[in-house]
Amino acid sequence: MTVISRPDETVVPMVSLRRSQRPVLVPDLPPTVDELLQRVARGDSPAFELLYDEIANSVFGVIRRVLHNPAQSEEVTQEVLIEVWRNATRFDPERGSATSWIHTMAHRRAIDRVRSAQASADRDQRVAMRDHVTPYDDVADQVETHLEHQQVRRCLDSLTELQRESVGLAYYGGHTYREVAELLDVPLGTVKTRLRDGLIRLRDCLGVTR
Amino acid sequence: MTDPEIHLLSGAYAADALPDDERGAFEEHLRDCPTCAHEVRELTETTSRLAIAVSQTAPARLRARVLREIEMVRQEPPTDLPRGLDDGLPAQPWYRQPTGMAASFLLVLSLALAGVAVAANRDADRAEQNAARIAAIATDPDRVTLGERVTTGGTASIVAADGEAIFRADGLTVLPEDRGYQLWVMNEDGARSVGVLGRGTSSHVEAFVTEVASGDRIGLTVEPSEGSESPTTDPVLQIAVSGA
Repeated sequence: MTVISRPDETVVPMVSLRRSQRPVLVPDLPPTVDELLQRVARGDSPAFELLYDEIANSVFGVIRRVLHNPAQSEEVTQEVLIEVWRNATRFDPERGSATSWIHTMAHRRAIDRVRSAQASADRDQRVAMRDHVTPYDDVADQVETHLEHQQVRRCLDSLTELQRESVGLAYYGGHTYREVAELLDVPLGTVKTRLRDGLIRLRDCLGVTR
Repeated sequence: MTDPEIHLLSGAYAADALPDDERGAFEEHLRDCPTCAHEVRELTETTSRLAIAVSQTAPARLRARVLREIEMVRQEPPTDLPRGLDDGLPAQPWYRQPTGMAASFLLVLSLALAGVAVAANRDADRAEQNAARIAAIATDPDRVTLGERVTTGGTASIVAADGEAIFRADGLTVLPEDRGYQLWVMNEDGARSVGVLGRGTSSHVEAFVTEVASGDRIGLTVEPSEGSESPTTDPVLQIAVSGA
């Protein structure tokens, strides 16, 4: 019996094109995260390095935001980035962007860590998060250069207070919607709908389409 | 889950704010609700922007560590077929089946798989390809059918041909919600995960396994429902692949 192996596409080299054959009018745009991830899926480790540089800061940032503890955040970030390498083959562009796939993985890992910490009765983190009602506070080493950051902040400001608090507590605080309801002292159904219409309003403000 | 308001959970789902049990139920719902799936995709793109907005410079030492680590980590094969399709097929005996019967049951299975995927309105093309591969195994004159008892209850069989196999198990002991049966291909290189089958709540599971060679063993272990990176419990089933 033969072992099925995938055709090794990584050996088809772009560099085999002679310089003069390159289309002159096409500007040398850096590869997108989607393109990089698809190269990574074929075992291309130089592409992974480029991918790392594109996503490590946002992956670390969101994990740190949820977990607070720097050492733990670093550990989870490492796990997630290796997971990206391992599972790049399973990324399906039909289901969303590569960036969103990676951030979902990062956020879920952070959430899993919070929940298992809760389960093992480590309440410190949770107490720290209770103070964390507004989605934006001063994080000294936040990367402020992002236009993205400005835009998201502006769009968050367009939400109602309850929408903003719900989204912030759930996404940045790592709380379940049941916990959010308890923290804000509003009915469960209200939190469900505020999370949904809050994110819908954000989506429209940020011009996200898929 | 028949809660008419379940679609309102799309926001909580995209923010990972559903407790695990509700997350599972909502994912079930997504398979039957293309509109909800579309909304979830958009809202997940939106939460992704919330992640970008809080970017922080990752520690420099992390880069070298991750790049070193990936050199030692094998990438998963790009399979993604059945996660426990409970489609009411008649129970099959676990022992070596008459080959004609195996072929017909697999053809039924392949059609059922294509049907399920179309009904779920996703990955129809891939399902078709997989159905074709399943049919190819079922009709391969050199296929082998092997069966074994599962020590904790139930029976399992594989039909293998040309490096690919269909795994099927029936009468499995239903596991608690937070446990699942995870399928592995094991050889001297270690155990490679095929995936967690059916979230453990179903007694009947099927899976499509790629890159199987003679001498490998197919193993089943009980793991947390999200799966483990390598087996953490003793196998409840092992089938040695031979002859294919």
